[in-house]
Amino acid sequence: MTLDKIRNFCIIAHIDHGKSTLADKLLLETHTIEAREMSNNQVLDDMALEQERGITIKLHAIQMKYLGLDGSDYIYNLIDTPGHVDFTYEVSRSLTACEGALLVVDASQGVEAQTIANLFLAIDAGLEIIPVLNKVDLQSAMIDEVSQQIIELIGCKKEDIILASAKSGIGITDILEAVRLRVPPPQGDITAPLRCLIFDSVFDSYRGSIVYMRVFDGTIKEGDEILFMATKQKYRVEEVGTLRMGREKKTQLLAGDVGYLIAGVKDVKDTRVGDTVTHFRGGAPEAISGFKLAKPMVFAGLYPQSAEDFAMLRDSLDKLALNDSSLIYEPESSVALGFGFRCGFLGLLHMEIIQERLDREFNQNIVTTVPNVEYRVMTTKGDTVIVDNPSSMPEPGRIEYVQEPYIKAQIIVPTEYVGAIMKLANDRRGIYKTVTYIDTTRADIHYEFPLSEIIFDFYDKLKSISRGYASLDYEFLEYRESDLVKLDILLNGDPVDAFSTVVHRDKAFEWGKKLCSKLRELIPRQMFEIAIQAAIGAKIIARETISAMRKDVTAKCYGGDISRKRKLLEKQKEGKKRMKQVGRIEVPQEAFMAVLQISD
Amino acid sequence: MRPLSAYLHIPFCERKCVYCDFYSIENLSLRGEFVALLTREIDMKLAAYPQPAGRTLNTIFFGGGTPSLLTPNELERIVAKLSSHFHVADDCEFTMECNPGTVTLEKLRGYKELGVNRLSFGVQSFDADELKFLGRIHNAEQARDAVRLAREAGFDNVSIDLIFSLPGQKEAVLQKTLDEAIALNTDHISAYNLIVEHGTPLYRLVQLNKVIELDPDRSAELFAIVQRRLADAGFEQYEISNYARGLDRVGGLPLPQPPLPLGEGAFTLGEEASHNRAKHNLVYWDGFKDYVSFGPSAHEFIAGERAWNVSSLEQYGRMIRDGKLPRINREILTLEERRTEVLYLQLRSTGLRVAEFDSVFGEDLLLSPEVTYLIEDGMLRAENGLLCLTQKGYRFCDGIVTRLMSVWETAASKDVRGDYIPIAALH
Ligand SMILES: Nc1nc2c(ncn2[C@@H]2O[C@H](COP(=O)(O)OP(=O)(O)OP(=O)(O)O)[C@@H](O)[C@H]2O)c(=O)[nH]1
Ligand code: SF4
Ligand SMILES: [Mg+2]
Repeated sequence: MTLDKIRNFCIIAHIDHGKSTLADKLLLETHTIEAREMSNNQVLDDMALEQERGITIKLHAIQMKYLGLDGSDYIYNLIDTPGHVDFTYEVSRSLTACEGALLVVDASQGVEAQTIANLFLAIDAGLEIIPVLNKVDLQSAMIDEVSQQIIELIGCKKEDIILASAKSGIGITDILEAVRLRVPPPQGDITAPLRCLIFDSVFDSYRGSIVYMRVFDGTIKEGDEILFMATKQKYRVEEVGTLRMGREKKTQLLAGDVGYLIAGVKDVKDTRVGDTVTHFRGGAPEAISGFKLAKPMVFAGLYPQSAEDFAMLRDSLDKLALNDSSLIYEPESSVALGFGFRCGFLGLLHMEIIQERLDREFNQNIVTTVPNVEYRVMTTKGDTVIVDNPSSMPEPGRIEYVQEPYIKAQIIVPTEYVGAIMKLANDRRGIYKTVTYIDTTRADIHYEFPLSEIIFDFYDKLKSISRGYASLDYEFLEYRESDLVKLDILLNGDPVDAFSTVVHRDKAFEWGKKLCSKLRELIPRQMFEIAIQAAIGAKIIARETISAMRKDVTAKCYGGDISRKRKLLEKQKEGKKRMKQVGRIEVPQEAFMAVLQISD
Repeated sequence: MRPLSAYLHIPFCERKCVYCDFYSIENLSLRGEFVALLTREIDMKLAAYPQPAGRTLNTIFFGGGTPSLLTPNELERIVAKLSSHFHVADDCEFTMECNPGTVTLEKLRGYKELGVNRLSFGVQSFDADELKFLGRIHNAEQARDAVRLAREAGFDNVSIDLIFSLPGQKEAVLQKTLDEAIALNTDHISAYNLIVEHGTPLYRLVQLNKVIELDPDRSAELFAIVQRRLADAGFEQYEISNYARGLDRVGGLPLPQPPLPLGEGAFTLGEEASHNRAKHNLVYWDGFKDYVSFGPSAHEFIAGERAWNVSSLEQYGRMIRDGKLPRINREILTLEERRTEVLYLQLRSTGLRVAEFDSVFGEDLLLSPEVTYLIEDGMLRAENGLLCLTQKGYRFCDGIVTRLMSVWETAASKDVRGDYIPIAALH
């Protein structure tokens, strides 16, 4: 098939606007999958977690064969992307493999924060944008208003917008035709030295790393000797192919193709997302400029429930990272929790997903510490210390000043909520920048925030005060000096490093109080009294006490009771696996995340 | 041959008590037929499993139900059957559970002649309202009479059962019951914190909010009162709910006064222990010792295998008549399960025999920091090769055991630390 019969495109949108449902319809229309084979909606969301939560977490690439209205056969390589702000990195990687993007907008919701953010990413990547107004079947669809919003946003014509319903199948052929007519075919030279860009990978326990890539130049086939340019690792190609509903083996992949590569790579670190694959001999002199590495926004400690599982956790993280290139981690140790890893995440949802995947896919029962951002500390000696774990904050006497990351945030919201949102922003140390109006009903608010103020419950708050209408997008801005202090928690007089947090001085007292009382709720009564204290340096600022249990015993145990009692004890012991022993105190895992449950 | 104990379950009661989850029925007319079935079960079991046959019975316990509903004649038939299969030790402890409302001097004398040497009376309380609430058929006067009759019949080992932490129980009422119990001068007292067992009428009353359970903290206080009051009166707590009259009656003779230091964890266990401890029950709390059992719902434990009978007299009869053992289930314990049971049972009574435990289960219990913590906290004592609960520790037995059970996991993890790859090497 010649290049002009190939189209590479992705679907981008704000969360829940219907990308994956639209992908379903495209797959059905092109007979890539038959209706009877569809066990569930959003077939591409193949992770159990994605199905359960009804959201896309990872990018999903798939190839379709399309018979165009011009009578010719086409190859369509489609990538469905996630909409949640935590997974923007998946979107930006998908874009590099494509020449066009379907920008889906929910007609009942209108343009939202990630509509704009993802659109700009696509424009920056030089993609042809096809606006799709989805969910036109809904009573609440505001076709004219939202079309107008799109026109103003993209600067397109009204006729360029395709009216569609991924649910009832409206506009599907129009979309397929628009892809054919409007998305430019890939360019590339099959005779030039090989250059493939890795945009994703998964781990298979039999085959090793499976690399997903876009071939930009040249040809790659089984038996070729290849080089991963960044890691300088040499391998022999075992298999190449395209991504249909499963992997479909091909004799070769050519410039313009999107497909997979298996080369018996067992060391997961050798196949790095963003790296270029070329031939070992006669390879390309220069790598394709990949994409920026994902910048982790929040950090937290991940610890195995029992120390013996440390090696297994490391192995699980290695494999998970192959499948999720935005996950970074390094070993650390905690007095309270033993050996574990400090991990960087793109956001709290990302962190939650990683935690759940470790549990489900790798059977790793882990304890997580309170997430935090990364601080920069200028010491009195004049050097800079990067602190991604509050417990490693230098002593107050050694600190000249502390900087924390700021982000710039864009909030899109119906005009009547602007006041309430500005109040919330104020509480969160927000710095007002601008308010503009998308149309008469919707405002586009810009603020700067310390990242630490928005990672926890800011988004939920935003949603609740706007009845679900507000949307938020943010990106890193810069480091700025703030008056920050380290808040420690002591259990029976001993500081528990895993509970330490860094907070703004003005909020420290209140936080300390709330944290102590939350911990009092979460830590069960034990055989002895437990004092919970919050301290800044040597100064105790709050205290709570958990009184001792008075008894824990079964009065009667004769011949007929023993077996039942044993099973009960075994169950209780099993239940204790969800507890971490800190000194002699048993602390439930949730307690290490107590901060997240504190509301203001 | 290893000694053996025997338990026989007599499944009749004049009236069911509100809290009771033992298997028994109120149709007393089936008694004669039951005795015939029971003796057949003994024959059948020993034919099918000859292993316990011929062994020496160190203890025999008739429980229920209300064993004292048996006439001496009926009891004789059962005892004769036991004697035909086992050798009954000369000093065999032979206990009958008795309901104070069902005994006469004549009956007790009859029991005595058959070898019964220990009586355990279900007194429960000396308060009329409490007895009524519990659904007992006797009153306080009958309880006192029963113990007097027992002495008159020549029993020198008499025990009474008490229940405390009744809904709304006032401290004064408990104190009065304890005073009366102590005044009866029995050799042994069992005092149980009321348990609202699944499936009992009491359970339903609690579910319907017609009865409000005592607050756990409050019942802990009452438990401590029972412990202290009985210790002060010279009783040795040798299990969570069991107290043996102290060293003042060793061999039935009063000892010179006062041999007993009082207060928390006053008694040293081991050789100096009271000889009034219930030897049969100590077999249950050993975890290594064997007991054979007969009658509906009875559980036996022989060489690490536990088996139990159906909890229905009708089914019990049917199975025996069909020539089948009336067993409903059995379990063969894994080493890990035995470890849990031995830990729990020995600890809740006279203390864990550390050396034996370590050698059988390959542990090093005393080295665990958890044990050190629990000793520091005044929950455990290590002495004479035993790990014992203190008076306070008895109130936390379950919690202590689960803490000790988790020691095994921590111990396992010690080895893996060595496997740890240093941070620098990982990067
Ligand atoms: N009524 C109606 N509902 C739709 C339509 N398209 C999608 N939906 C519904 O909208 C919800 C979200 O759809 P998804 O396809 O999962 O949205 P998404 O954009 O892939 O979401 P993320 O991947 O999480 O960003 C689902 O409940 C769909 O059934 C449509 O055209 N009409
Ligand atoms: S007399 Fe004993 S066995 Fe019978 S019902 Fe009452 S408590 Fe239960
Ligand atoms: Mg989706």
